[in-house]
Formats: sequence, structure tokens, C-alpha cells
Amino acid sequence: MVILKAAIFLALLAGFLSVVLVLVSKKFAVKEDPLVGDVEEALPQYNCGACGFPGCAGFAKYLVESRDPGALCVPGGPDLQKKLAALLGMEVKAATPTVAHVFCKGTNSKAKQDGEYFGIQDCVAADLINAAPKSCPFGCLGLGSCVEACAFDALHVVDGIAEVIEENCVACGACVKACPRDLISMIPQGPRVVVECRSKDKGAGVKRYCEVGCITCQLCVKKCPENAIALTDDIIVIDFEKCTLCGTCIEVCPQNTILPAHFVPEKKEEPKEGTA
Amino acid sequence: MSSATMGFPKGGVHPPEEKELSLGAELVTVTPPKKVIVPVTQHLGRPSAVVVNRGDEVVVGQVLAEATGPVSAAVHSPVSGKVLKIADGAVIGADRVPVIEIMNNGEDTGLDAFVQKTVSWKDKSSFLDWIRDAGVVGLGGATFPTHIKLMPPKDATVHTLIINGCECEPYLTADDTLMQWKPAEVLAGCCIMAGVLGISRILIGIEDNKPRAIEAMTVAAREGTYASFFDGDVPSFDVQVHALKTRYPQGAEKQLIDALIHRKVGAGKLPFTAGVVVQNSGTAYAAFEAVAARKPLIDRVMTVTGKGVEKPGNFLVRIGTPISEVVNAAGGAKENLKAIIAGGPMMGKSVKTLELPVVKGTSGVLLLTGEEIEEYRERECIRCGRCVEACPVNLVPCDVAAFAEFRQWDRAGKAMECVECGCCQYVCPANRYLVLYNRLAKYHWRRLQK
Amino acid sequence: MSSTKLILQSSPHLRDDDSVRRIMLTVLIALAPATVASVLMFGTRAVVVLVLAVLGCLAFEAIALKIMKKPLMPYLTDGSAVVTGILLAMNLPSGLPWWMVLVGALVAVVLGKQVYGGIGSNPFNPALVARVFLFISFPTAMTTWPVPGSDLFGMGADVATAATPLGVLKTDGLAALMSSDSNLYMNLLTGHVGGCLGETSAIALILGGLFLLLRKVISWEIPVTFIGTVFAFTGVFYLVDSSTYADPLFQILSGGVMLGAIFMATDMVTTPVTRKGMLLFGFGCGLITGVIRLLGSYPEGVSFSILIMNGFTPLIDRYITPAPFEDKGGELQAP
Repeated sequence: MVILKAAIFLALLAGFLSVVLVLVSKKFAVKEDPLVGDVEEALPQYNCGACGFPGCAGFAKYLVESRDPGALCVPGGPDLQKKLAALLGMEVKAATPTVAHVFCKGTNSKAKQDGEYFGIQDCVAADLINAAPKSCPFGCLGLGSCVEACAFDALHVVDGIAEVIEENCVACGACVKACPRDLISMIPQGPRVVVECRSKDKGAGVKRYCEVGCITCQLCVKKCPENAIALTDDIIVIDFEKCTLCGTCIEVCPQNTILPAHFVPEKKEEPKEGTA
Repeated sequence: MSSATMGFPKGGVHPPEEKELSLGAELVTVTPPKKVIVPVTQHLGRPSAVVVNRGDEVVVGQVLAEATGPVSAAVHSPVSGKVLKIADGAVIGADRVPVIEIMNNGEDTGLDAFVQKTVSWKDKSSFLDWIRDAGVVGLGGATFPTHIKLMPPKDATVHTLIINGCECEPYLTADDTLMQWKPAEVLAGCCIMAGVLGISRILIGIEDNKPRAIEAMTVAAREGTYASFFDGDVPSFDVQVHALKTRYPQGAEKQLIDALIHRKVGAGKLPFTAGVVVQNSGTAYAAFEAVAARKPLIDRVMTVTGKGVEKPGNFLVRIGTPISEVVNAAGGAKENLKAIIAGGPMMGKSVKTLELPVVKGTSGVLLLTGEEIEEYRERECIRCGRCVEACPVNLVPCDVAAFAEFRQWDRAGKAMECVECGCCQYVCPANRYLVLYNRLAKYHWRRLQK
Repeated sequence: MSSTKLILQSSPHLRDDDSVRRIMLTVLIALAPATVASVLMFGTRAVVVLVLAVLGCLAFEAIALKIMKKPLMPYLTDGSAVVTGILLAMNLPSGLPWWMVLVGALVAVVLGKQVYGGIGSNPFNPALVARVFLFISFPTAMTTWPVPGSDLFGMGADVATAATPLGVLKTDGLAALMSSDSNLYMNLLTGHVGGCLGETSAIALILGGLFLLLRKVISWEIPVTFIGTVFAFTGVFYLVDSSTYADPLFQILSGGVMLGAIFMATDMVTTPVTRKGMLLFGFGCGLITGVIRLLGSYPEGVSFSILIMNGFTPLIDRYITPAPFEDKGGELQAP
């Protein structure tokens, strides 16, 4: 009998409380555009901050309210942009899918080192006290500040330089901000030719400390049939839109600083591995 | 002079002094090298502006770069010769800053213009301009333009000039040597600066591990030998030489003020607020030369020491001389060299090569072997609190380090009060990189404030 | 130039010769008198507890490090696990079954320390976490106190037992305590009383404490305020009613006050880093100990008080910081 009494009491209590809950939820319901929920669901849920909002929820709300055609979720890629366009009923510009790239190939064996660094394993810290082990004042410090900044495990330090694992990269740009030497940029995905050095030093200086550093001889600039290579701010830069992957620059580069990625140049006798 | 040993009250450490290594040897004048590398900016403040061109012939003491505002300083040619190039070059603490390379013709043209003459006190109103035009900056290492420190703001009442002869960094003996070598001149420089400030009270603080410097300065003060450099209506000065307890960082500006006049100058405040101006003893000598010989700051006394150098000692070196030349004058570096440090071991900077120029702020270079320096790797903080005890400015270094380690920059603002003296790291049993954490926290805190 | 690589680092480039290992060794040396005293009082049983606790802590530390993929060096060799082991043993009764000692070691090292990230990260004193865990899990075994000096070469639980002076005081009252031992204070000093391994000889503990003070491993603040507060708090009660409450001298000499104040409450990791914070910490420990002993139902409260104050340590460190370096104003003093 005691059991029965208890059961009845609990059932009544449950019934009463559920009525209260229903009433309260009706009374204090927050009216939200259902679209916000849909958009948020469509977003990749990385909360990476690439859009400038701390998380996907904030970005979804902004998108629905502003219908800003310039707002982009880069990590979502073109598929997401199509999805969003369908949801929001507006034109969404499709961005070229990009990927992070570290512009330095000065590994421990190829770049001269002056000493051994003892301190916080953080590129900014080592750079602050000018105690980077490598002689090159422009090269990758190899202490992994970008690795720490990456939430997608898309960067690793291998043999003293950071390398991007392109399959994992969502192009959120966190590593670009983390690098004190400005060595990481977003570049188009797919086959490409890259100048793997951002040294602003003169040739003789570079030769002293790096086997694969750009000596700004500008042979590539002169030889490029498409005029796609230029010297900008003391750095050789390839215009990816103009580049036809002909491989001329790769062949003429005396330092092997210019490397192909995701394709094998035809004329090259000894094809190099892709950089990823 | 007072015989009681004074010191700052809280914190600090007493590392092995290691000063005997470089003491005792004669002061050696280093022959100016074939080529000097003169960084355009050698002071704290606004960068200087280059006023010579590539290919120009320059003479000793000619202005190479001039001040670009009140808080700035001129740079003069230390040799005579031809400007080879003006380009980016490596200096202590930076890989690429503008430098002027000059090929020395070995004739020292123009050097004979800087002859020491009797200073007429009637020219007192010009002293400040002469010091400024000579490019004199704080030679203790901070390199703040000296003339700015001699111009107190209107609302400040300055009553005392404090001369910092502590040289509390282990190993270094440049100030010690200078005070023994030219006590009367140093004292005359102090009087000149006191004259500029319009005050008569001069307190000279020297750590008690420099008995010969204390003796020399005390004798010079008692016998008034400095008066012979002046004529005219020279006021009388109340010069007191004080022996201070040997304890690092006795020579930090604020600790020295605390030790001598028992006033604490808080973070972000200037010594003016306590009514004092602090100048280094080496700066006093430079000010004397600037006024008595109208000689710009083209050379300085520096220490080259450590077990990694053959003949440690003190050297009179032209600005812009590569450190390697000074090391050669000291008999060269040894094979088992393990570290090169520009400055003292507590605050000096690791450098990668000897091919960097001596600048106005280079008080010394240490060449250390494995006997003297170890490869310290940090481990976890055990919260022993030794850093808190050692901190002379009352911070909790282990807390700042913890915030920095976990990248909570917004909570690490206390780091801004850190003077980077290194006492916390010196005592840390876990070998934490406390000073570097503080520097990192400062860097990120400044970025957050923008 | 040499072929060896130059050291590149931030200033300062010098260190004094202190290290974590050296601190731990100093603590071990300081614990030696109390350890010897415990063996003299409790014989082979004490040796068994000590050895099991130390080996257990080392073994569990090694296993935990392996699981967390941390190197064994320098963690295992820095002596911190040995210190935890000895301190754990000091907090256990000598007749405790061997497997309970090992459970204690497991709790101390794994639950007390490694789950938080290892040395330096634990909020609570590992040895005390284990003691309280065992005390709550095995109350009988943890309050069975072999009589000191009896059956020195025996093993196991088959030994004459007696309550601790504090236990007698709590259950039978002050009169019973005073009549139970005519030479009470001398026995408290030399350690000829029932209790945990380390809760016996006040003299041995104070000797160790003085050594730690001399070597600057601990500072005076925590022990002095801890013991002082217990003395003052119980002293007030004694003055009000000396027929019910024991005198303050008995209070500070008995139970775990000396062990706690000198060795447990001075653990660097779990106590404040500033001197002022330490004063507050010691005061809090003393107050809570006094309250538990006189007003609570347990005869002893040192372990609980230290653990509770460990919990307040982050708060203390957050709000009690050194006075900023600045002038208090006032007249200018000429030198």
C-alpha cells in the first residue's frame, strides 16, 4: 500500500510540474527566426573565428539579420556557400578554395644555425629576444606557434620548419595571425608553383645561411613566359592567376627555391615531390 | 662619506661576483678598426635621421645622424674616412636595423679638435646643449638621452643628483675601472650635470665590492680635485660617496633611489617625483668630455670577460668597432666558448656572433664557457614562492608566468611593472623561464591594449 | 669559434644551485628524525608501512607517467614521490594492513597528484588526500593504534592497541586523560604516545622543522601561525572551563599539529606563495583544527583543516598580493 501511495503521489507531482513547465515555456518563449537555426546547422561548427565572430552561432545570426553578401565562411568551402545561398535566397560569392602555406623550406639541414635556443617553445618569445637558432632573420623559427594556434591539426613542425597538412586545413587563418615572421599565407588549393622563401636579404646574405633561400637573382622574373612573376617588396611573388604551371621558373631557379605542388612539371628531368 | 652600508630593502639576489677576472689589468685602448659599423639609432627614443650619403668623406666627430626630436640623440663618426654604405645590418638584439658603414682611413682627422680645456662656469647655460649635441646617452645600458633626464618638468623640484656607480651586474668592471682611472673627471662631470640642474647635492652610490673605486672617488670628492677643471664662479657642491651593500640589482635606478634616499618610485613614475635625477658614472664622464673637450660620444669603456676569453680586461673602444676586434685585443676567444652575452649575465642579451658593432650602450661582452653557463631547461612550477621573495618590485613572477603559459594575456597585465632584472629566474629551483614569460606577456598585453 | 653550439636564451644567464630535487632531498633529511623516532616506537610495523608507502608511491608515479606519456626523468628521480610516500606513511597508523597502505599510495599519487597534471598542479596535499580517503573508507583500521614500544619486532594486526590521547580526551573526558598517563607531557615530546607514525615525537618533528627553516625550504609563517592559533584558540576555552577542556600545551603537542604545521601545511605546491598569504593560511589551519577538536565530533582535525585551507589557497593567492612597489609618501629622509 505504501508503494501505491508513493507512486500516486509521484505521478501527481509529475503531472503538476509538467503543466507548470509547459505554461512557463509558453510564457517566456524567445521568438527566434527559425532560419537562424537552419543556417547555424548548415555551418561547419568549427567555431574557428575565421569569419570574425567567436562562434558559428553568432555568425548565423549576423548572416540572417544582415544578409551581408560579403560575409563568408571560408572553412565551409563552396558547398556550404551554395547551401547558404539556397537557405538565405541570395547571391553568395563563391570564394576560391584556399589553403594555408608556409613560405620557407629552410629545414635544419639546409639553413645554418648559430646556436641552440633555450626558452619557451614559442616563436614570438624566441623572436622577441632575438634568440632564434637559425641565422636567417626571415625563416621559419620552427617552434610551432602556428601548430598551437591550429585547431584542426593541420600543421606540424618537421625538421625545423612548419608544414601544412592540406587535407586538414580549413583555411581559417589562425596560423597566419600566429606567425611572428609573416611566413604563412592562404593560397589557392590545387596544382601551383610557389617561391618557398620570403627573405628580404640580398643574395650574398642569403647564400651565407641557407641552401634553398631566394637570392633575388630574378632569373624567374625574366624567364616567365606569362609575366606572372614579380619582385614585390624585395620578395619574389608568383601571381597564381597568371601562372600556367609551365615549370620554366622551377628549372631556372639556381637555389631550388621555386617548387611545384600537386603536379609534376613536364620538362623537369627529376620531378620533385609535391610540397604537401 | 658615510661608512654605514646601505642597500635597497626587499628582494634581490647575490650571484657570484666574478669581477676579479677582468679587474687589475690596465685599461687597453683598442686601435680603431679598418671598418666601423655605426647603427643609426643607439638610444631609447625616436630614431635618429641619417645626414650623410654613401661615398661621403667624414671626419672624427662629424654628425652621421641627427636627433629627430627632443627624446632622440645624435650619432657621430668615430673615425675619419669614407661612408661605404648605409644599409640594414645586424646589431645586438636585432637582425636588421639601419647602419652606416665607414671605411677608416686611419688618420683620425678631426680628433685633435677635441682638446680638453678649462671649463668656464660662465658658460653654464650652454652645458645642456653641449651634452645634447655630443649625443650623450645613459651608458649604464638603458641609453636614454642624457639631456632629457637633465630637464625636469616644470612642476618637479629636483634636489639631488644620484650617480650610479653600483655596477651591480656580475662580471662587469667598466664603471669600476673608469672611476679608478679618472675619478676627478667623473666627479667634474657630476658637477656639470648638477650645475645644469641647478642643485648642489650629489650622492654617489658604489657597491662595497669596489673598494678602490670608492677610495678614488672619496679622495677626489674630499680633495676637490675636480675644481681644477673649472674656472669662474664655481658653486660649492655637497658630494657624498656612499658604499652600498653588494646586492643585485642595487644599480637599478629605483632600487638605488630607495637605497640612498629611502623613497620608492612606483611603476610608471619617474625619479623626478622623488626629487632626484639618476645618472650613471660613465655618463658623467661622457658629459665631462662633452663639456670640457666638446667631444662627442665616440668611444666608451667596456669590459670583455669570462672564461671563454684569453685575457679579460677593460677596453676603451670606438663606437662601431666590431666586438670581434675587441675580443682580439683581449687575446681572442677560446675554443670551448659556450655563450656570448652582450651586457651583464643578469640582463645581457645572448648574441649569435661576434661580428656585431659596439654601441653606446655596450657596457661589456661576456664570453662564457660550459663552466660558467648551463643549458637550463624549465620544468613545472612548484609554487615555492622564491621568485616572490626575490622580486625587488613586489610582483608575483610565478603568477605572470602561469598566465603567460596558458595564454591568458588579459590577466597578465602585472608584467608591465616587471623590470626584467632576472632575480626571480635566478632563484627558481624549477628553472622556469620567468623573465621570458614576462616579456612575452608584455608583448601580448601591449597588443591587447591597442 | 668553437664547434659546439652557442646557447641562445633570455636573460638572466645565471642560476643559483637550487633545484626541485635539492628541495625534496632537504625535506627528506628533515623527515629523518621523525622517521627514526617512528621506527623506534613502532618497530617493524613502522618499517613495513614506510617501505610500502615509498615503493607504492614510486611505482604508481611511474605507471601514471607512462600512461600520461611523460618521461620518467626527471619526474621520478626528483624525489617528490619519495617525499609523498614518507609523508603518507607518517600519516598512517603502524598496524595498518599492507594493502591499505598501497591503496593509500595509489590515491595519493594518482588521485592526489597526477590526475591534476603532476607535480606543481595538485590543489590538495597528496598525502593528506590519501589519509582522509583511507580514514573515511576504513575508519576502524585507521583508528587502531598500536601501543608504542610494545612488540617491536612483530608483524600484522596482532598487537596491543590503545586510543590516542586526543581520542581518550574526546570519548572519556579530560579527567580520564589526565589519570591515564602520569608523565603525559614528556611522553608527548618524546613520542611515547599512540598515533600515526609521524604524530608521535614532537621533538623529532621540531628538529626537522628547524632544519627546513635553516635551509630556507620553509618559512616561519605557516608553522608559527598554525601552532599559535591552535594554542590561542584552545587556550581561550581552557581559561573559560579548565575542567572540560585540555590545556593549550597539550593541544599543540598531541595529535598531528606538529607534523601538520611543520611538514604538511608547508607543502609548497598547495599553500600560498606570499608571506601574508601564508600567515592567513596558517591562521585558517589553526582555527579549523581548534574548532574540529573542541566543537566537532572527531578527536582530531589537522588533516581536514589543511585540506580545507588548501582549497582556499588559490583564493588567497588571488587577493593577497605583495604591496605594490611605490612610495607611501611622508617626509623625505636624508641619508
